[in-house]
Amino acid sequence: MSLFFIPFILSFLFFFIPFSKKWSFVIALSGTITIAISVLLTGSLDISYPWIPGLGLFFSLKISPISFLIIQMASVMMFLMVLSLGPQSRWNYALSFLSLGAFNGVLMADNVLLFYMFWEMAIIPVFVLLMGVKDEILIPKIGIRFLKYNIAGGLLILISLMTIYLQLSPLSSFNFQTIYQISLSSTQQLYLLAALGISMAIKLPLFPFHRWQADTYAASPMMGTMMLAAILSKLGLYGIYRLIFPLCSTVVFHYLSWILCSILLGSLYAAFMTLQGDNLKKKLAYLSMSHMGLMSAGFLSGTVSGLQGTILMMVSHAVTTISLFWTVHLLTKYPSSEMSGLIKTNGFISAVTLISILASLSFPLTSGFVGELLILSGLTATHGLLTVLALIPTIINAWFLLKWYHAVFLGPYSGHRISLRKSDYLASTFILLFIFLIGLFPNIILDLTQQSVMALIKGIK
Amino acid sequence: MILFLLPVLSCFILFFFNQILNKKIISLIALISSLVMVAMACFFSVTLSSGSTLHFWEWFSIGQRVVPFAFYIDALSKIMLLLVTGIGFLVVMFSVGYMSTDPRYGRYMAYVLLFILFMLILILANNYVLLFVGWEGVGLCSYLLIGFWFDKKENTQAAKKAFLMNKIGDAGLLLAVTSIGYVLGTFFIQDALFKSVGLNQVWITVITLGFVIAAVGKSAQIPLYTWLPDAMTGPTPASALIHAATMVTAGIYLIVRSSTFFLAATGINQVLLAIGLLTAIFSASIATCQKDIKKILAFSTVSQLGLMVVALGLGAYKTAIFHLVTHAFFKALLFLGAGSVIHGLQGQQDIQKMGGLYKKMPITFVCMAIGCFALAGLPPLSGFISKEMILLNGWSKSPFIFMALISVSILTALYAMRLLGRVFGGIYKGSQIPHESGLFMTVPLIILAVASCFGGFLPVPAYLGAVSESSHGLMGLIMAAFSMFMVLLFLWVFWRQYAIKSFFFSQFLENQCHVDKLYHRCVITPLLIFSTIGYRFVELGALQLPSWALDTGWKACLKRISIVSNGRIQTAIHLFFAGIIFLLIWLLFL
Repeated sequence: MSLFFIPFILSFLFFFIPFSKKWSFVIALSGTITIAISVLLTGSLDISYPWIPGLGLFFSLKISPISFLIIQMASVMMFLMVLSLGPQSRWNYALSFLSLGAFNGVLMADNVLLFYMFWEMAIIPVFVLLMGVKDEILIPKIGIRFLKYNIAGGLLILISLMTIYLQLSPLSSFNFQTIYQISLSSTQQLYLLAALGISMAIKLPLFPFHRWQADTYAASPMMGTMMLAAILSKLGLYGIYRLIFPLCSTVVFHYLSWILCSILLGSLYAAFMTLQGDNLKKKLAYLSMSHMGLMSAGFLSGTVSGLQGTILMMVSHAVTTISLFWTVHLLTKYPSSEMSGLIKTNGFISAVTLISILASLSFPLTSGFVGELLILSGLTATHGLLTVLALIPTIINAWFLLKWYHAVFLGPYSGHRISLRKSDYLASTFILLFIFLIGLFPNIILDLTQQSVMALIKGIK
Repeated sequence: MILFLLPVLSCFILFFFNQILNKKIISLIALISSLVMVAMACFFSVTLSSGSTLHFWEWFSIGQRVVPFAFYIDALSKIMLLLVTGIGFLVVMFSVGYMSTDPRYGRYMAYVLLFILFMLILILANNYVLLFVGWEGVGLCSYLLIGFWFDKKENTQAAKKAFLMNKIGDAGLLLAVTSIGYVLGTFFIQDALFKSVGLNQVWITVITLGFVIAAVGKSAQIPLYTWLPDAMTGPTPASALIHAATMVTAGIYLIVRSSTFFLAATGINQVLLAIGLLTAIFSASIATCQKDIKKILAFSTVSQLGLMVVALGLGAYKTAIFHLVTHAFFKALLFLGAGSVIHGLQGQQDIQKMGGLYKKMPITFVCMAIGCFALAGLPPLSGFISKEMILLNGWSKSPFIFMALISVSILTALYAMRLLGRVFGGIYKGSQIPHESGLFMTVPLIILAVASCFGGFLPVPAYLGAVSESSHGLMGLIMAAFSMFMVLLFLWVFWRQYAIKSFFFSQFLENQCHVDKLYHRCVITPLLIFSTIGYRFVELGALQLPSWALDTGWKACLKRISIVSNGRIQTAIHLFFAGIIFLLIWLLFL
C-alpha cells in the first residue's frame, strides 16, 4: 500500500513546499530510493475498499508478478532519471512523481474504472511539463496534438469497456476478473480489438498512430521525454497483457500473422525515419518507436519466448533509452552543434554511450540481446518470414546510431569538453551495471515471470 | 576456468588503468596473458578428449531450451584454439615493437586481448547462442581496431562500414539460430546437428541460407566483401590477426561446424561454390593492380577466403580447414612483414615508393619472400599443398571449376611476385631512410616463416578424421611443376623490374572496379531517398490528414455555433429562457 502512496505524497510535497533546486534533487533522489526499497519490501498487494457502492465499484488494487516487475522497473528507472538529470526545478519532480504514481496505479488497478482513471491521469503531468517550455513557438500545437491522441486512446478504452460492462448484469463489480468471464462473439471481439488496438498503438506508439510522439519527445523537457520513452510507453504493452489478450485472444490469434506483419512494417518505417532530419531527440524517438514495434510484435506472438523476451527487452529498452537521452542531455547543454571528436577529452562518456548504443542494438552480453533473441524466436514460431522482417530494422538502427556516434564522438577534435558532475558518474555506473547485469544474468528477470507467462498462455489458448 | 579468467582480468586492467600504467607494464601484462592463453590452449588440447564439455554457468533458459556458458572440445576446436592463441601471441609480441610509441597503446592491447577472448568463445561454444556472442564480439573488436585512429574521417568511415556489413551477416546468423531453436528445439550445436537428419527441406534451406549470409558478411565474400579492403586503415598487427588470420575465417569455421546441415541441403552448395569462385577471381584480379601494400594483401585475403568457400561448396570441409590453417600462417606472416616494412619506412604504404629493401631489411625480406612464395603456391611450401588439395577437389567435380581455380592461382602468383619484386627488388625509390625492425618484430616473423614453410606437412585433414587419400600421382606432379614454373616466371619478371604498361582495365581494377561507388549509388542512395519520400509524403503528408480533417471539421462546427453564441448577452438570455421553457414542457407533459 505504501508503494501506491509514496509517489503521490512526494509529488504533493514538491507541489506545496518551495524547495530549492538542490534540495529538490536530494529529496527526489531519496524519494526514488524509498520507492525502490518499498517495492522490494512489498511482497504482494491485494486490497479492496468500497468506492462508489451504488455502482458496485471498489477501490481495489492487486499486483500480479508481471505488473510487479514493471513497477520495479519503473521505480529503478525513476531513480536513474533523477540521478542522471541532476538538479531540476521542483515542478519537474512534482509532475513526474505524479505521473509515476498514476503509472503504478494503472499497474495495480484491479478495477476497470480505476485502470482507465490512472491511464488518463498518467499523461496529464507530462502534458503540463511539455506546456511549461517557453522557448519554443510550436509548443501549444505539439502539446495539444499529444493530448488529443492520448485522450482519444483513453476514450477508446473507456468506450470499449463500457460496452462490455453494459452486457454484464447490473451492479456487478467492475473488476477485471468479472469482465474476463464474459464471452464475446468473434464480431464483438473484432470491434473490441480495433478499439483497444488503436488505443495501445497510440500509447506504444505504433505506425500509423505515432504522429504525436516524435515532436513531443523533441519539444518536452528531458524529464518528460525520459518519462514518456522509458516508463509510460510500457503502458501500451501492459494494456495488451491486461485487456487485449484476455478479451479478444481468439481474434488476435486468427489474424496473428497479419497483425504482426503490419506492426513489424511499422517498425521498419520508424527505422527509416531515424535517417531523417537532424534533431537528435526526434531520431531517438523514432528509434524507440522501432523498438516498441519489435517488442509489441514479440508480445502479441503469444509464445513463451516472445512474451519473456518482450519483458526482458522492455527493461533493457528503458535503461538504454534513459542512457541515450542522458547523453543527448549532456550534449545539448553546450551551445555548439558542431561537436566532434569528443572521445579525446570525454573518454568516459564516449565509452558509456558506445555501450548503451550496443545494448540498444542488442549486442550479446548486454541487456538487449537475450530479449531480442527470444522475441525473434517467438516470431519464428509464428512465421519464419516475420523474423526476416524483424531483422531489417535492426540493421538500419545500427546505421543511424553509428552515424550519430561517429559524428559526435569520433573524427577530428573540435575543442569541446563536457564537464561531468559526480552524480553523472554515479548514474552512468548504474546504467552500465544494469546493462551488464541483465545481459549476463537474464535469468534474474526471466525466472520472476516464467510462471505467470505460462499461466497467461494457458489462459489464452 | 581460472586460466580463462586471467586474460579477462588483464583485459579489464588494461581498459581501466591504461592511463596510469607504464608502457612496459602494459606490454608485460599483454604478453603474459596471451602466453597464458597459448598455454591454456595446449593444456586443453592435450588433456581433454574430443567430445568433452566444460560447463560454466547457465546463462538463460526458455521453456525446454537451456543456453549455458559451456565449451565443447573436439578436433576442429582444438585446431582453431591452437591457431588463434598461437597467432594471437605472436601478434601481441609484434605489437610490443610496433605500437609501443602510440599514445593509446594500453587501449590497443586491451582490444587485441578482448578480440582473442571473443574468438575463443566463438570457436569453443557448445551452443549457437554462445557462438553468436563470440561472433558479434569479434566484430566489435574489429570495429574498434579499424577505427583505432579515430581522428581521421576515413578510418571511422571504414569502421562503420565494417560494422554495418557485419551486422547484415549477423542478421543472417540470428535467423539461422532462431530457426534452429524453433525447429529443432535446442540451441546445442551437437544436438542440433544430430537432430537435423530428416528435417524439412524448407527449414534446411532457411538455416543454411542464414549461415551462408553470415559467412559472406564475416568472411568478406561478394557481395559484402568491400569492408575488408577498407579495414586496412587499422593498425597493421591488428589487420594481421583479425582481418587475415582469424576473424575473417570465422565464416569458414561456422560452415564447417554446421556441415551436417549443408550435407543435407540441395541447392545451397552451388550457391557457395558460385560465391567463392566469383570472389576468388574478382578480388585476385583487383589485387594485381593495387598500389597500397596492405590493400594488395587485403584483396589477397578476400581471394583466398573465396578459395576456402569453394572448398566448402565442393563439400571438402577438412581441406577448407587445412587451407584456413596454412593461410593463417602465411597471411599473418605477410601482414606482419608488411607491418615491419611500413614501420621501417615510417608509415609509407605505397609500393611504388619502395624497392631494393632486400639489402636494408634482410630478415624481413627473407620472411616476406617465404610468405609470398607460400601464397603463390611454390611447392612444397604450405600454401601449395593446401591449395593443391582444393584444386584436386575441383578437378574431381568438374574441369570448369578446375580451370577457374587455376586462373585464380595464376593471378595469385602474379600479385604475390609483384609485391615481392616491387617492394624488395630493384632500387629504393622512397625518401625515408629504411631500417630493420627490432627483435620483438622479427622473432614473430621468423616463427611464422618457419610455420609457413612446413605448415603444409601438418596432418590437419587426418586429424579431423579425413580418410587419407591416395597419392595424387601424375596430376599432383604436373601441378607442382606448373606452379613452380609460373612462380619463377613472375618472380623473374618483377624482380627485373620490367615495366608493365598500364591500360584502361588496370585503371579500372586499381579503382577496385568502382564497387564502392556502385553500392553508394544503388543501395545507400535509394534507401535514403526512400526514407525521405516516407518522411515527406507519409510522416508529413498522409498522417497529417486525419488531424487536418478533424481540425477543419471542428472549425466548421464552430462557425455554425457562432451564429448563436455570438457573444451578445441578449442572444444568450433568449437562449437560456428558451431552454428553461423547453425543459419545463418536457418535464411536465412528457
